[in-house]
Amino acid sequence: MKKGGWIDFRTGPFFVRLETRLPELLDTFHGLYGRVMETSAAELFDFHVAVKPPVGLRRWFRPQALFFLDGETPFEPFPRSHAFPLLEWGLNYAIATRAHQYCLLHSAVLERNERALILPALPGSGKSTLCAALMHRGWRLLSDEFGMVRPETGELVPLPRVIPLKNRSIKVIRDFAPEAVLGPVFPGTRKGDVAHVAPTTDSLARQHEPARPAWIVFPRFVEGAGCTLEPVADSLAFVRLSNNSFNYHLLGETAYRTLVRLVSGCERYHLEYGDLASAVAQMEALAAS
Amino acid sequence: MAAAGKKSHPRFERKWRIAGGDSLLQKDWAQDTTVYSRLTGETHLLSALPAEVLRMLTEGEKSEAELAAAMGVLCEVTVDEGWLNDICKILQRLEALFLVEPVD
Repeated sequence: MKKGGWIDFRTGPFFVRLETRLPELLDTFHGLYGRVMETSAAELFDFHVAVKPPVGLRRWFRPQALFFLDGETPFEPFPRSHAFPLLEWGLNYAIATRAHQYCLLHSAVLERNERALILPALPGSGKSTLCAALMHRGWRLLSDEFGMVRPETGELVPLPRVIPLKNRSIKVIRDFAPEAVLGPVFPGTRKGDVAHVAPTTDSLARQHEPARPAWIVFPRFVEGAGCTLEPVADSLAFVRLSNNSFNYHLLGETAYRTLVRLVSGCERYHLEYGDLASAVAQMEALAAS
Repeated sequence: MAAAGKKSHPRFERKWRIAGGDSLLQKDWAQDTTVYSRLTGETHLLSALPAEVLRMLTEGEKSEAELAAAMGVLCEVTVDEGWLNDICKILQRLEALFLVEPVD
């Protein structure tokens, strides 16, 4: 922590200055990210963020925390005990609303043998749980939240940050990958109980290596189901991805061309699964084919 | 009797063109076509018939009768009044999406 109460770090392509004096937030941040992301090299920052107590009574009485992005507060206050999830969600907000040099898909992205797998996020997909599981079976994490496509080249740009797990997914991943580094459980957040899985060392070490997209797999978790992988029509994949994108309409023709290129160059599937091990095995088979 | 200021046409001779000039990006997929309009910023998913009507109009203005004849050859369909009306309906739907416009 530098004098003045901030740390500068790089996450993927973004330089971030985080201002905070909340020790519990810093403990969780360093516990999950270590020091590898910290940098003294930045002179310009993509985002200036802060997590601070509000002025007034709620600084001490049922204490709260506020997220600041370039001096503005886009969210209502959170309980101070939820400061770390607030930071993570705040950074997601910053990227989703500002990083328009990329075509932004709401998806997880992982890489195996120099080929990238895109898992678009839809309600009930189990995307984050599947993403955490794959990461602990040798896939490099590019991102759990953002498929960042560089329009000029079609490459996927890494942004390996912690993976938030909700409610029973926390235990699912503890059982599936006992070696996973999990942060504290934050009970009763707006999304239920939340805990974060640290990116693997390899994922963080290679966060400046883009990847070429090879597969688009739309996952859907169905309790008790088997595991099936079915092809998806190219036009349907295009429509689903365009709806899934954070900034498709904002980018207009650039996004259209980017997604046409992306869909044209990838195999496309729908994955329905009822247990994690089968889904992981299915993705392993895809990578080996 | 034509409405004041509006030109009347013999049946099926009204000419159509792509709205906004060179404003469309079309991509043919296996079963459908996506179209991006630079004019509106909207993206549309079209089935084969309207996609082909658009493609023909990108080659130049055409009347309803000309479109119906060309589409009839492509689809191996007899060009009767029913077919002409179908083509007109397609044009009306494409016009509602601001993808095509009448020439006058």
